[in-house]
Amino acid sequence: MTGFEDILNGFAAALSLTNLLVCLAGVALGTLVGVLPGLGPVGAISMLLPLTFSMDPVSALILVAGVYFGGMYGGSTTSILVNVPGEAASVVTTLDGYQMTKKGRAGAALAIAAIGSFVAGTIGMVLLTFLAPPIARMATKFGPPEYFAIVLAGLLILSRLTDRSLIRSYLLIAAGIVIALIGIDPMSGVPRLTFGTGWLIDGINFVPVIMGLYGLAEVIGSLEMTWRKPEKADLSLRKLMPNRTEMKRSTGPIIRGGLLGFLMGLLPGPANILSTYAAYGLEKKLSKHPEEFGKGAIEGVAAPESANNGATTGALVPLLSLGVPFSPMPAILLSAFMIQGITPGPLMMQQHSDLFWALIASMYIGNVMLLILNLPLVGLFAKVSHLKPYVLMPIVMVFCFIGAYSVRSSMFDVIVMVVFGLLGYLLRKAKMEPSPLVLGLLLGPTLENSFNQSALIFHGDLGQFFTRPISGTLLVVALIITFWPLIGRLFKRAASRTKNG
Amino acid sequence: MMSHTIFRARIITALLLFVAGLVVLWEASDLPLGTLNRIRAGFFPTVFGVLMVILSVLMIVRESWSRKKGVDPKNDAAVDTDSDEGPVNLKGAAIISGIFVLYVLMIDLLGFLAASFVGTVALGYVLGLKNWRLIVLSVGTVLTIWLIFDIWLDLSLPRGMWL
Repeated sequence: MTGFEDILNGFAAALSLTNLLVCLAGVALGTLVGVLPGLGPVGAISMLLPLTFSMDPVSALILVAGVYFGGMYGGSTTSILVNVPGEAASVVTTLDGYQMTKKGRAGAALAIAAIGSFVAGTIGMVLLTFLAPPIARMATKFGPPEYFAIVLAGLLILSRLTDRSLIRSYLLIAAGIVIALIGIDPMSGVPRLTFGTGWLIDGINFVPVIMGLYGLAEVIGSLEMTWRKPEKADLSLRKLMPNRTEMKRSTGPIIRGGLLGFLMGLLPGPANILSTYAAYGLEKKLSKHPEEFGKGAIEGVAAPESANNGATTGALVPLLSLGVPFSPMPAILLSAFMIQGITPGPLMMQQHSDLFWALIASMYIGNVMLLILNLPLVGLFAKVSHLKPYVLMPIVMVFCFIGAYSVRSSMFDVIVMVVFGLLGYLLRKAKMEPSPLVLGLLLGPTLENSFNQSALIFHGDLGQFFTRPISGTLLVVALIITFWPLIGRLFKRAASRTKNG
Repeated sequence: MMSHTIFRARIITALLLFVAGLVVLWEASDLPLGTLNRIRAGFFPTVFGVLMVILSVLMIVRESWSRKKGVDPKNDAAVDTDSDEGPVNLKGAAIISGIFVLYVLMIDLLGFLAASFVGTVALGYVLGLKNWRLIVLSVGTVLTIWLIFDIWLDLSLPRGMWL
């Protein structure tokens, strides 16, 4: 029963007064960040990283995890009240959430979003608690070929999920990997792509890159933001209670959305966004009243809001068990681990099991706190949506600058952030999601090291990647997913030929 | 109008990455490639430099072809729907980017706190904040970062040339 004891010890650590306060601060900050349009949780966590420098590892990670989950809760508030999503994962919620506000059911929509987030978050955490340790145990037996296959498969699947054009995704991944190669080659100690300057010898840190792409890019586009005055809605506690029919209609979508979100969270890519579309589409298909979708159907709020929370939790499984972040959100969480000198992955559960279980326990506690915070304080959070960009954006800018500087006390990192802010703005205008670039940058070193080591083990015979069961299976699955449209077309053509005799 | 902006932004992105790919290849040309038995420092930069060049050319061709065929780039975009569909304000974006450059330059000259004050005033003003509100926001922001980062976290922020 060591596992159960570990969980109890985790709760004992997470329930200390300091950690409870840190958790409360994290979830409150996260909710605020989620409510504020124009600042997503990725940008916000990266801005808050310097705050964790002087904290002990458990408290620091609890704070960051609180913001991580809180961001998903808060995103729905402006979607429902103002028709402007707090972050991309709440875009789908605007479709029915705002219509419910127009019909005078804003309170019920907000309450269902909070309840759905809580239930899905809890489902996800239970699954995470039971899934992550066995995967991590299995991963201790993985060698370089398996890690290479996991990372390559991750990047290939990500390309299929993120953009409708594989070329654009591959290009951004390649650019990300090239950025990761800048600096000293770990195998030979030779400086690469440094152009003979000392600035680039230490490589490009990914925190300023993420801050630029997700934080500063928003500031650059702030003159283009549309600000809408929130609808007047009665958000008294009495009005927040969904009626019986609404609760009954939401139960299925919440559970299905949570599970679907969790499963999608295991895959590479911005699952917290993609899962909302998938859950909404699924509920519309299953519904007895599909015509009500887009006109204020409660399922249209329950499903996506549950899905994005499920996905947020699911995305932690590859990070905590394999040490591989599959989307920008866990990636920024990874940086919080690294600042504390901890590398997430299979060894973390052996070397820092107390920290791992305290973090898991704090997630359960944070989830309860979020529900308690969000229901009675929804009116207060809704008021935050009155903040206009001219108040928020200068503050975001200053925090981004200070955050980028403080990672390595380097002005070069500030310049890197500004450059990537401009690139992020360009990518927004091009309607290209930056996550392939971020993941290329993050996974590039693992891809290179594991490939080089595998080639050494295989004596140059790369076909051996396919003879090992795990790496072979993963690579075949990745190839099938990559070439699926082509395979599908060939199957269709063959079928129509058979039909025509 | 919107589609035109998306098309132009994609072409600019592809061109930038094409040039970056060429620069990578040029810089990697001095590094040894090694063999599959023993891969050396130049292997990955060369492989991914080549990929960047090929993929950026393919992207330009594909985007131009789609435009010719009348495909709306909005329907051929990343799944992450950008909630902000306001008009493009390139002049505004350029001014804000200019403020960033000024901010970076001023950090060395005036120090982080003074530069942050000037940066906040400039950005707040550009975004439409005027009079006492602008001063309150700027002073409040600088005071907050001073308390958090200088006093509480004891981060050694640059003090500028004069201190």
